[in-house]
Amino acid sequence: MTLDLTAALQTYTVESQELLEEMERALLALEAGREDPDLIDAIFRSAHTIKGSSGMFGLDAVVAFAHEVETLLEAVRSGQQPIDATLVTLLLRCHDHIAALVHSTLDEDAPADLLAQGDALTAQLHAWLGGAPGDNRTSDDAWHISLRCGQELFRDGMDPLSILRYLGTLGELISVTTLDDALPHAERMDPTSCYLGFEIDLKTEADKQEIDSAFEFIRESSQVHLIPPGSKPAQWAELIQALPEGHDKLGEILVSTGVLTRHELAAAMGIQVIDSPAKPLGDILVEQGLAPREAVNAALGRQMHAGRTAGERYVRVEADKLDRLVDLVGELVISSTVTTLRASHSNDRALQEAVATSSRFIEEVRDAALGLRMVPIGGTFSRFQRVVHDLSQELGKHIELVISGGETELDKTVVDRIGDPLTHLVRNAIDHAIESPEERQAAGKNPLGRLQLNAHHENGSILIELSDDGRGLDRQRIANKAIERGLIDSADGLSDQDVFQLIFAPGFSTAEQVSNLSGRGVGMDVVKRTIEDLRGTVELENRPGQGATVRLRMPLTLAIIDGFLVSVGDARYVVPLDTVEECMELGEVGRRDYLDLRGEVLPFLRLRDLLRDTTETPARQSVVVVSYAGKKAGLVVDRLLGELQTVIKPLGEVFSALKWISGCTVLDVGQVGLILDVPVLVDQAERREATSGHLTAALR
Amino acid sequence: MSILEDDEHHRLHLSGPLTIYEVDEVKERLLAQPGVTLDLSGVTECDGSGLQLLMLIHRDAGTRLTAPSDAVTDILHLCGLSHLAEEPS
Repeated sequence: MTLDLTAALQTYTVESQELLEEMERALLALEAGREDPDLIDAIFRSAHTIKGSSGMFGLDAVVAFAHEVETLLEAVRSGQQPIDATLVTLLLRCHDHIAALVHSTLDEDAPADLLAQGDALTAQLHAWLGGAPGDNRTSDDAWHISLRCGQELFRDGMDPLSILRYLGTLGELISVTTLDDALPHAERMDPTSCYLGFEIDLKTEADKQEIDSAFEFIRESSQVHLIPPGSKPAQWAELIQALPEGHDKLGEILVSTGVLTRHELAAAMGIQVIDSPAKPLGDILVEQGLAPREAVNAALGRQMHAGRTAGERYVRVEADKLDRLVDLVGELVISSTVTTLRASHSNDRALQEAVATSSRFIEEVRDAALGLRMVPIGGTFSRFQRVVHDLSQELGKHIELVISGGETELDKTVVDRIGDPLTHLVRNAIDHAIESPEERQAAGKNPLGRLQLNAHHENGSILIELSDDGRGLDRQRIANKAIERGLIDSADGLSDQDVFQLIFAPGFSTAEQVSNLSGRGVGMDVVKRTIEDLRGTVELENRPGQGATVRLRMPLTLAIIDGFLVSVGDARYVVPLDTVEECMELGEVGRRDYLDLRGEVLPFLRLRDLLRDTTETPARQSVVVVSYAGKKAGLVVDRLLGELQTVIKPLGEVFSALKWISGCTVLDVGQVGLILDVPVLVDQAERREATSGHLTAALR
Repeated sequence: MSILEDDEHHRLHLSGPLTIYEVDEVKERLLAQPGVTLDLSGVTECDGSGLQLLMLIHRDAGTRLTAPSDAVTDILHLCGLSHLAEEPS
């Protein structure tokens, strides 16, 4: 396979993945009792589009299986087949199978056990369709004739019915299907023109020439295709391709008249798409300039017609390009700060106005560029419907998942990385927190357990909360287990929060838990580490007997932030603006490291000490009050220099020891400014305050 | 060919041949009365164009086809379209 094809195949898998997610969402919505024909349509569309694009790559196994699913869905869509929970479960398993097939294409041909699984599912699908397996072929030895009449036929004094009758004299007409697809709507239809088409199966001893002679007089004006008995799928493919009705309909006719088995049809459709020069690899190839757009559109028109009409429209862009754009916009923002500064020093009013206008646009460009990397978290959230569905069924629990704030946006990289930890938390809640229906009833609770997944923005970070209404955390049990595992000697003197945090300690999870989590190899410690890698925090809130809430707080990791510039000695530092509460002058505090903020104790850190800055302390210092996760702290600095927009540049490995620096930035004068990591600093100030035992009383 | 209205049963009776020579007129008449029931018991002869017209009015004018004569039954059977016409009720 050439390099280009590999890339195309990757696009195919990504796209299929999205379609499969859409399909799963719709299936779960159906299961939740929503009766919406749009849902069936969505499921059908997904299966259909996957079949189409799989055909382009000649992935026969996917095409064949998706076709089976589609057939059943078609029956559901037309109302022949009512949908119920059992059918949804079957369709979910079919969904999984398609996903597995699609996934296996990246490596090699589908492994045998996967195919066997597919055959088992296919048999079940057939059972739903009234036990009509594909192999009901009646006419192994019949000729298949496709006739599309020319419009002039009647006026030339010919009649297709006479031809049919003549064919009848040659042998036995096993089946005749009359097609009215070419018949225009009544107003535009001329009764003396012939619009009819026929699919004919003829069992006969006659040879090709004899059969052909029946069409002698109409051959000029009409389309006639003869397919001898025992033809290969490729010949059928050619036929389906040549005819105007669209292969889905035609395929169904061929199967229903028994001329083709479903399997052969699927094979033919696979060939149809790859063999035909009019059907190249689709859009991907257009993008790569390997095929003209018109050709692809013409070829795919019919398939895509049923595709995403209502769905959102996307353009796929390489992440690197996006990063480059964001980077450039960052530089633009910096350079515009310089321009604005220079302009404000000049007396040229016109220049100042022009600069003001352009910087407004630059701000908009910045927001738009950053928005490109932001994706709603809803996609990740809705995946958990499936997890909840499967796991609660497995465990015999009744659990509903309520999702809110799915539209909350955050950086794509963050979204990608929190998927696994969240999955673990959700599974954990289902497995351990929520009780069985009997236990719940005994405790006077609703037997239907409830999981809530919520996301929202707070203080420039994103807060994801997972709440359950289960039994809550048991301090004693956790403490006992931690002692048993040698994590602590005794729980005495530990706060509840400290005890609960123990479940995130490496080695806390037991072996039986790991097996429950189907070998994902993610423990609670990994959850915590992943979140901390994203510079986030994990909090637990316990409501004994009533449930618990896990809060994940993460920075949005924007590449550009609004910052507040301060200086200590000669160095400049940037405090993320959304963490800044207020600024004040540092009064006479002596050597204390806390002050009285309107009656509250406010611990503070002297950046000067932290940085070991040896320059002379100015007479007046200022305090920047910052807050994070509901906690406040003061940062003592030399001077306040005001707001600015700045681009976060990551620091090299060398600086990784500097915990309280989250990045750096280039300031307008070409100087480097360090960006302070407020969460770390707040934590440090609080911890020091706690250990040195300054109490509110000390202030009074 | 003639088309007679049967007031009592709210249906039209088509009788005589239904071929390329008649289809223009029949089309006009039948499209003007969508949703009617068309009694085909009097059709003496039907060719491909007649069949095509029956398919059209059935599809686009919602015309119910009933009581096919032998000539009509024969071609409907030939073309695998027996479901198009209902037996007389």
